[in-house]
Amino acid sequence: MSFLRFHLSLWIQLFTLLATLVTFVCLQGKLKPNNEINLLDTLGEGGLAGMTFIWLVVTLINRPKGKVTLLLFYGLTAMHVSMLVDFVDEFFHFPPHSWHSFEAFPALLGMGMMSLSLYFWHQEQQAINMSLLRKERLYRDHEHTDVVSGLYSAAYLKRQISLELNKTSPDFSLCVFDIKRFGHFNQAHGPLLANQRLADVAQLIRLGCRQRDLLCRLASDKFVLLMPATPLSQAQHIARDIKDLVAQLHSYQGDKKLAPLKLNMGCCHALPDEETTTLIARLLSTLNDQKQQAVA
Amino acid sequence: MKPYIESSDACFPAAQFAAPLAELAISQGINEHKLLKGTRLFLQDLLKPGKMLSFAQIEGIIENTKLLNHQGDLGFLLGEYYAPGQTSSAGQCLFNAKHLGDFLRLLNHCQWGFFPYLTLRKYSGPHTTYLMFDTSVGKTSKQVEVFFAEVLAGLVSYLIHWRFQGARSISLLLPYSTPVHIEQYLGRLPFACHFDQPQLLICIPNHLLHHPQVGASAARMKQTLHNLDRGRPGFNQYMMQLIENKPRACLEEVAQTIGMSPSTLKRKLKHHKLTLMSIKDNINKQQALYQLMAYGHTTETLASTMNYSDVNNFRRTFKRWLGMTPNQAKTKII
Repeated sequence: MSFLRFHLSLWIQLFTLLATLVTFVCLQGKLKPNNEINLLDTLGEGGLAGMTFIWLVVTLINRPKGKVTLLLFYGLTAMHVSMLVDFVDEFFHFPPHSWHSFEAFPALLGMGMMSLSLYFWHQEQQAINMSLLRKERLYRDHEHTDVVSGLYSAAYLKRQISLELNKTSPDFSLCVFDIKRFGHFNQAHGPLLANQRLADVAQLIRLGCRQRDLLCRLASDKFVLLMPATPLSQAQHIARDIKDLVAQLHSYQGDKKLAPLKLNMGCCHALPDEETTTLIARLLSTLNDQKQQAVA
Repeated sequence: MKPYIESSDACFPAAQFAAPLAELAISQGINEHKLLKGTRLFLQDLLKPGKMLSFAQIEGIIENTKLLNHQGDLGFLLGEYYAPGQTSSAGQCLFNAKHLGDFLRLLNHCQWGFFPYLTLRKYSGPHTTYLMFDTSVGKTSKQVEVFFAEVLAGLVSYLIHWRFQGARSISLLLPYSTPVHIEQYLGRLPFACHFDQPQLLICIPNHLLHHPQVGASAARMKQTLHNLDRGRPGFNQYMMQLIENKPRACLEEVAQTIGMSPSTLKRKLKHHKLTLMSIKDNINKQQALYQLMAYGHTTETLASTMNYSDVNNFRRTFKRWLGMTPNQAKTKII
């Protein structure tokens, strides 16, 4: 999958910067006569500038939006600026002690940013390794991974809900699931087995949802499924299917068969001009209503 | 032995709070070295039987936890797991209280053994009982305050689920603005939470005080109450008790009562991020808050109840205590 189309603003920034830089250099410098141009130098420095530009393009193609990508982009851009100036000065004379003397500084700054980005990239990769089953939409942020379930946490979900709500006519549904008698299970078996149970449920719900849906862990035993471009009736239908799928799971502690897993569910459709927190509160209240109806 | 606990005294069992917190944090993928950074502790220390920690070390672990736990769920989780892990006499005594009212009465005796990190003051109104909480040892950072409030919320949630089933009409007032991880409050707690309040406080309608506790035994309660270790109060708690008995005492008089020089007392107060004025203000704030919430007094009546003859002066002082005027407080809090 190419992430190129998600970086439009970065492309605009890059080309604006490069166009401004080249124009500035052409206006400030005086063109060298042909016999003063060193071909080997030009080839080497042009190659360096070209390579950094290729790295930039590859980065933008392969990386989703996020902190690491931004740092990589700005770091490589700064390096590219230095290389480009170095290349262009093969064709121009500049006055002594002008801005041109600082041509290496952007590269230094860029290398610093690249080092920082590598550090965050390492952390991100560790998070990815721990949660291979994670599902994400448009934006990557390893800090919001829930280690227990391997899904993204509520912070990521809220960001995605906000993005959907900011669209001109938001059309998406949310479904929340929680595990029946999870509190009893938790108290009886302790946090380690309870965490395993959460991970199992997360995997099963993921199995039952569509490619374009996003599943996140909200809090405790509550999971939220964001379903873009889905009417409420369809969302409820999918949620019921997921509920049935999870009910078929048989899990064991050693040789002992554990009680079957059953889910509670609640669904709602986003309203225009609704705030993220209000929508989540409404979703949870739908779940509570469903639970009370089930008890009655 | 000092009649109070200071923040540097190693008096808190690691197994009670810090070790379960560390275990939960590690199970969430938090690095143990980062969690214990700056506390001069290793994980092995926490797991040693009988290991005692100072309040300052516990604060350090909490601050690191708040920094590393991006989901903001560890306080609630610790609160939910905290109560069943309390096998001390205090815990057993509380879990055999006949009903909620009895539970609150016993909390006065069991606070040290059960949850020594927060001190509790109970105010009984005509319709509602108010439980006001402060950190027992000294003033803490906002992050630590929030964490303790979340542990308390998790603990209350456990009690409502397992011990006083159905007692959901209580409410929790929190002295900070709506946090980023609000979904933890919405998704985990079976009772109402109100943010931006002047005090960490639980409101319990009086009719719930007779709500029975599941599995309580009066005989076991009496037996464990008899064997109870009452412990020592934290420095803040001790000073509050002292000043409540002598509300007009100056620094010299308080120092004389404790048996130390005024400069030593001043130094100790500073070490715990307190002043004599801040302790007095806190006590007055809680009393004014109680009067306002329980009886809905007008500013004039409130001023006279709090022994202020000049209403304007009282209004100004009230604003210093609660950060809002009595009329603003009435609309916001009640």
